[in-house]
Amino acid sequence: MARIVRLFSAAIVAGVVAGATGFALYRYVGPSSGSSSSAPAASATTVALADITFTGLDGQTHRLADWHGKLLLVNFWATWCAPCRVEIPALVAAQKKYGARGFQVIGPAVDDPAAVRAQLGELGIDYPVMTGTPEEMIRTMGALGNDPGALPFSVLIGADGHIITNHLGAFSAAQLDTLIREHLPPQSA
Amino acid sequence: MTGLRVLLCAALCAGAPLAGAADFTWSGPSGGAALLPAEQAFAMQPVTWANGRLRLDWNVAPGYYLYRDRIKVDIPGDPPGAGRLELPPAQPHKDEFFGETHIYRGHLAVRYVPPAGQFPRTVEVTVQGCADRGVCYPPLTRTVAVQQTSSIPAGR
Repeated sequence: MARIVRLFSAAIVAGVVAGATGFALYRYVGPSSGSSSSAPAASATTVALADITFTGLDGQTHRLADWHGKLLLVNFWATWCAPCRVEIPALVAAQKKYGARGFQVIGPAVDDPAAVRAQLGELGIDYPVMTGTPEEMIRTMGALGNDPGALPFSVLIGADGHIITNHLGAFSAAQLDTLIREHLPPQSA
Repeated sequence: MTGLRVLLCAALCAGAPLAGAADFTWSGPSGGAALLPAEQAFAMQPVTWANGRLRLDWNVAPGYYLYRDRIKVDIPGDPPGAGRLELPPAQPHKDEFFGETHIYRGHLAVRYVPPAGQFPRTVEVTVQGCADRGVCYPPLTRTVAVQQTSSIPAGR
């Protein structure tokens, strides 16, 4: 009986640790300046959303927390990725349509800054774009649930900082529109 | 023993509500099996050296393909692109954005003649490909050791 109790206790601990790790991995940890945050801290082996940073084409470092309060679509893409380029007009249109209502697209590119800069105009991208090496971006995408590291990959993060969904492959314009309308932040009076 | 199983199951399931609290869901590309990691989708075989040239082989998994024009082979220390890459005929492929391109499916064998013509201990190889399910992989660069063999068999 004592053996059963020990096994039961160990299993409870394992279950709680597994759950808490998953929670810490995907829970948005608010800006570090917020001393009253009650969000669980990420362990050394996990990545909190707020800890994810990208380097903008302007050389500045951007944190996901910079867009806290918006419905944020993080769209990983690359200039060499055909399905990514096919998807971009829908993203540009969504930003234009819903930007004033609290929606924001950002586009971390698994690419060379010069290649991205040269094609922004052709692609019509007018939302913030960042770049990073394949190694950096694959690591970040892995932390966000994209183990194969393939593109395009999108993560929709709610205004409250929680991941709503992620999506591997291109969104159609209709899919994207439905998803955004379902999760737009409530409009202030 | 059945009672023990029930207890263990109940205990392991206790963590599930915490994990689900992030409202995290997965919606991958349509269709069947999970997407393969790039290393499995484009499985590279040992690189061999014989008769003054390298032979490089890949087994591309069904449903995946490599772009012909995105295969790069270099010897560390040599100027990039200095050697001669010998590629087999590739399949025409209509890309939804890039238009007419050329790709490889299934087994791919290429040869590379280094500029100095000497046995290289290592080789740096970059490939890039996609899956038919509408996703592409970042360029995959690997530095691999070269195995020396006596000769490349005829027909290979």
